[in-house]
Amino acid sequence: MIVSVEVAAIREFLAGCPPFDELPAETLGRAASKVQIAYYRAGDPSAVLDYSSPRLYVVRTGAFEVRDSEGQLLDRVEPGGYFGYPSLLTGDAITNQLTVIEDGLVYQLDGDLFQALRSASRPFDRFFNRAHANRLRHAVRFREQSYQLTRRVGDIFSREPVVASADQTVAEVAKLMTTERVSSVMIVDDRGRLCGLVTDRDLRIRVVAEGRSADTPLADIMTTDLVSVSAESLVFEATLLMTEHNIHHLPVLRDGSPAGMVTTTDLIKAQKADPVLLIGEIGHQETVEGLQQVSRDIPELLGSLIRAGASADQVGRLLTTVTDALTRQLLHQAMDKLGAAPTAFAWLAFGSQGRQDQAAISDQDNGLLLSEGATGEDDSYFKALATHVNDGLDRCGYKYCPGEVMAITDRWRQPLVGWKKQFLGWINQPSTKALMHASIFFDMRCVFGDKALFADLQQTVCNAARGNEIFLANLTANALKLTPPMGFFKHFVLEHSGEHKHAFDMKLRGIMPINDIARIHALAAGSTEIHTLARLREAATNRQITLKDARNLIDAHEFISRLRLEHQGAMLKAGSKPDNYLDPKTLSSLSRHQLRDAFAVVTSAQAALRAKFTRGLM
Amino acid sequence: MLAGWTYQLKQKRYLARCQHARMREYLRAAAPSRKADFRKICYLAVDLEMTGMEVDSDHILSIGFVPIDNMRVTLAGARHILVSSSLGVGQSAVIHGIHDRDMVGASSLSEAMDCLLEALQGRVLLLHYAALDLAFLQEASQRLYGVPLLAMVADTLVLENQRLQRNSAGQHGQGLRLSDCRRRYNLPDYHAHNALVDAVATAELFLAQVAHRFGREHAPLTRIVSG
Repeated sequence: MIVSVEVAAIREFLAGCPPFDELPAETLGRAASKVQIAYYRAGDPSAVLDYSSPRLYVVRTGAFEVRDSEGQLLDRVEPGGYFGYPSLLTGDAITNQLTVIEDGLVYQLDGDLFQALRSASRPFDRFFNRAHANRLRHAVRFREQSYQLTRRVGDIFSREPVVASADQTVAEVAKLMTTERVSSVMIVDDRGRLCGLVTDRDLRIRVVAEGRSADTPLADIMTTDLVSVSAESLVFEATLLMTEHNIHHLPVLRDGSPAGMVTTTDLIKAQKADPVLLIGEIGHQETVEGLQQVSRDIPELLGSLIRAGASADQVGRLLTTVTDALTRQLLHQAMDKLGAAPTAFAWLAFGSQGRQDQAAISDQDNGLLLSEGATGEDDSYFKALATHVNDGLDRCGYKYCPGEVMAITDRWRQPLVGWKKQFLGWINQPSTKALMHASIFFDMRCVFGDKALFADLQQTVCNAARGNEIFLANLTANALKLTPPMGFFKHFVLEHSGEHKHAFDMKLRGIMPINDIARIHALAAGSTEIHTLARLREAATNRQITLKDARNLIDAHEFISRLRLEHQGAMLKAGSKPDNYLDPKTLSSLSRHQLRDAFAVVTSAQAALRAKFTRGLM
Repeated sequence: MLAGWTYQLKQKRYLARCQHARMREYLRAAAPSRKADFRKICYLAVDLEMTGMEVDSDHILSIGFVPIDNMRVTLAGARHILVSSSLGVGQSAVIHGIHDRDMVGASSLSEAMDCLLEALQGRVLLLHYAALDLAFLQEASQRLYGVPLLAMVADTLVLENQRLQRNSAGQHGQGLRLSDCRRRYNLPDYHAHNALVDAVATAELFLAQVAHRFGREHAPLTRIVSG
């Protein structure tokens, strides 16, 4: 008898690679029995890709790089990864090139089989479509330069046109411009075609300076000698036109009718969304209003980082860098106003700013650490300093902390001895209740000021916490109250009612539990590390947790944070206020699957935490 | 090494002696060209599981094979044939995981050999440690068809040994078992042992060996076949 042929080792490998794991058993078996296997050697320049017959390549061992025809890196593929699928999806000829970085074995599925699997399984089809989309997005990031050059005017102007007719008066248009908060208005004839332009500069020069009345019709003062562009023009062309004619407003037309207005600000915005430029600008603002203005670009920055495929960790660090810069600039402004500080101090950031993992919505969590000898008189200076910074941050979009953890609160503005007493109280006489809201304080970072002062406090905290079983047990008991929203039968446990029905809080149920685990291990070891991923890596190095567990937790943190970012990016784009609530139904089945895995990692890490630290409570 | 003319001579002699249709057809087929670049040649990687190592007293339990075309292992052509035997599986079941109860409906040795011959036609026979498996195949061929099995053989163990001797410095005592050899090329460990998995493992090892040894250099088949 000839046994039906299936090489178990190959089937098992494929079964471990999403989306093959979603194929019905029989389909998977059929696919595995049709695999072809080839071996490629590093540095071998001969083409790996079979240009005559596109196929799906599954890397079994080794490492490969995919580059486009111009040599731009598109993807790096390691075991369990794929290449060759774009031309299978699009039917276009293969143009990418492959380099073998490390010798390896590659399984191959021919085009017919690939298409059969796509039609047999929706998750399979969706997986490769997404992979293709991701790679395209990647390609865009790698070519940001040329992407900027190919952007169209229609993509960048920010609002619908504000229009008036030529027989309206100066007074009317001034009112319109004020309510619409624009600096220019397009004047249209009765057929809706653009016939003139009035800017606030025109109102100043042609009306006020010449002593004309507010009843003057716009026809008398508008600019009729117009320069305009079509929505299809390149941003690059618009920039050129505005520079050439030395103008700040450029009407955009679609079929002769006004479609919008491009201003110099729009152009700057289109070209930046660059944290370096943003931080540079922050450093130049001498008023709170100026900072408020600049911080309006933060959502734009966040959006472009998400679109560019930055990791959640990178985004968190960049956003925090911006918050830090705003905080420092506010401190500088306050000190310009109030004079130099009477004694040494340090501005402390807690919570997400401390950990450097801020997202689209962040409340303030900060405090002021004053030097030992600060007097009551000194404190009135620092209270004024704190007021300027806390109010300023609120106006820049960082809402006042609901729990009042801010430097303006007296309790969180104290000399070194007061802070030490506060921390030692939490650590040496811990109670679960007292520690409930205290965990954010253990993620503290000095944003500005006297580093030695901060180091003194930090060292005291680390020494007291290290190996302190009762303290760690209480901290753990609190941490275990937040669990991933997974039921016993692996279903998501969601809100039953209210505004966020059928959703769960990604921050509270996914990200915070991992932050808690990382914090407890860091405190147990007396570490000064505050960044969650760095804490986990350190815990693995200290052998407090296994390297595998650390990696799993890091991946889970990144995955959930990335989901949150994408969710918030979509909300910002839709013009709504971003939140942390996710409805799992809006995810692809693959992402849902990965989310379950991420939560399983958190649950098992919590069980390990319980076993390790809660003995002190019994 | 069997030169081209000896092969042809034997081909004629065996044809004159053999009446068995399947074997005659196999013998009449053109042999792979020795002068052609080895990449243009088709191979059949084969592995046997036996009840033991003695040709006289032991027998074949199963035959696994997989073709290599265009230097790609093609699983669609793979077969795993269990061979029935009146003697039972005995102790070796521990190694192969083939139990007597699996053998119900297994092929007779003659059906299995017919199937192998059909697949091997026009190909180079690829084995790991050819001497052992070949002895069993020769014995079976002699018994069933009255002639030995005529085939060009490539042996991954021999290829590996040649490589180790070429880079002899500090290389003594390196294992030559299939799994040892595979590890040196960073090929994955396949745990399940059966004739088919080992045939696939041998085929992959062969691809790795020739990629390392020849790169893009043109090399005739004679540099690879060992007998």
